Amino acid sequence: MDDDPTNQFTALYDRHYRSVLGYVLLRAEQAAAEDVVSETFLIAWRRFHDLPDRPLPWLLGTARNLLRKHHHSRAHDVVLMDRIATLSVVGPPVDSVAEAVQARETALSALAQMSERDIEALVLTVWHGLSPAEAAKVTGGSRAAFAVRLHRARKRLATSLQETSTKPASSRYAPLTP
Amino acid sequence: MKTTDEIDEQFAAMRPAGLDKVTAESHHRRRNADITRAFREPQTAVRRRTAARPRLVVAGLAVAALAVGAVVLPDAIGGSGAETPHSTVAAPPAAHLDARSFLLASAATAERATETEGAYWYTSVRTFEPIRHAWPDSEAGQEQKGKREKLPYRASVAHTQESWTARSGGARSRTITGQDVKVTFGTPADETAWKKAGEPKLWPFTRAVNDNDMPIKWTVGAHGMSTDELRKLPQEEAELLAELQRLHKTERPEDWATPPSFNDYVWWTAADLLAGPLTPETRGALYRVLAQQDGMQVERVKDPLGRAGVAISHTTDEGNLTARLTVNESSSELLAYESQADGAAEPLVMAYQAMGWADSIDTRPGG
Repeated sequence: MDDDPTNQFTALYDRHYRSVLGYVLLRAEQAAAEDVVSETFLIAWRRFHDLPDRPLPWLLGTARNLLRKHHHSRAHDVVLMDRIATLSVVGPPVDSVAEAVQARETALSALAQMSERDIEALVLTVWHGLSPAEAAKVTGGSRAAFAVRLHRARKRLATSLQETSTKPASSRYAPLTP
Repeated sequence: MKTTDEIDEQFAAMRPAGLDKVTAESHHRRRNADITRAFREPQTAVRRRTAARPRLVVAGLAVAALAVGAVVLPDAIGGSGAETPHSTVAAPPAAHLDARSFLLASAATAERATETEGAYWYTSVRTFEPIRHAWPDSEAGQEQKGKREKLPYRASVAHTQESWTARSGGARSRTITGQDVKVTFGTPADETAWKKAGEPKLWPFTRAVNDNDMPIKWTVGAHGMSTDELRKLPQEEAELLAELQRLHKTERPEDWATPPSFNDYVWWTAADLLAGPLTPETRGALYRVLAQQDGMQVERVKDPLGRAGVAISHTTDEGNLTARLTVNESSSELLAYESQADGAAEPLVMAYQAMGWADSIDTRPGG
């Protein structure tokens, strides 16, 4: 293993850049998101000595704080849900376009019924693989509170998926061409 | 009812497929600039707790929270005398020295100076700082970091960084970091303790040339300013004071461990600004603003490179940090900046070996 900190930092950047950007993109437009990620890694370099063993939660928490500041100076918030909808446009080719559109609609309708905080709980644990304790650190709450939120989020997701899949495809989101 | 795993699986499937493509493309596009930009920036050796220093300069004016403790670094550089991380008090002054008069005289000297603007602002700065941790052995790997323990002995490092900051926003800037690295120990006993510990690596940074193709911002307080903005700072005392007040008011509290009083803020910004490409008029106005501040100590000293100068010290309103600017009495140029936090082990010192305009990215001022 290379002990040159510049190489270590480069490895950290290469390993986590995509995860951190993926997370930030749920909250901000691409150019702003990239600036936030850039700043996050700049801070990571400055505090390289102090980074925890598992740096991803720290990186996500730092990015989240920067986003929060960023949003103070902005007129509108980008809602998680809308970002997920937008980002889903760029999908890979699928076997059946109609099927993909249907699945996507179902998912989006289900998400639309959940709060942002619930979605975030699932994003951190399921998409980013954080433990509840790590995710609690990122969102700045207690571990117990996070566990409750995660449990509730799962329940709501299950319920809303149940509901939406039994309804006809809604027209709430216009079908998108993959 | 679905199991937790089933629900998680369904949510995993909702992850927008587009994310991977977007993030991979962005990673590829931003990687070089992001990493280069980070390496231009000094690492904060000390986690800030109560010190008033904000985040630092992209262009290389490091700062951290510092401390007391006399460490003598006995080795000479360039045959010009002993390096010590502290300014040492010179012979008792023949004439009474008072801070305000000295600063006003420096203002007048600065205002008389002429300059020929070049394509690059050049600085060469030698930094003395305490070493906090040993660096892991090769086999330890990066997952070990964060577990490093504080050194059980005292050691310091001195290293030199040169920077060429492009006058024009789009042009390439360069830093050469990690030059003339010298590690020293507090006492012979500290060195013995280090040897007993197996001589762990104490400072892994070696010489590196870093080119940067993005516009460089100067840090003023915690604001970022382009070279252009720095050049356009007010040239009159009253207007410069008003501008500093405006900057102080628009600082974001989250950038500071403790938001500084205006009096303290003037000191931090002065340390930042005096090493940058100010016009002679702005430099003069800044000395005039400093002259109006309260609670300064003044003494004649030798700076850490052995040069004679006058040191103006200021202790923060909270009393937890002392900053010291050492100025060349005849030219009014900044020689050194020192910062020392209450209760920490050693100071941070930045000694400016040279600064000024250079014509190209591979020449030094006048060269």
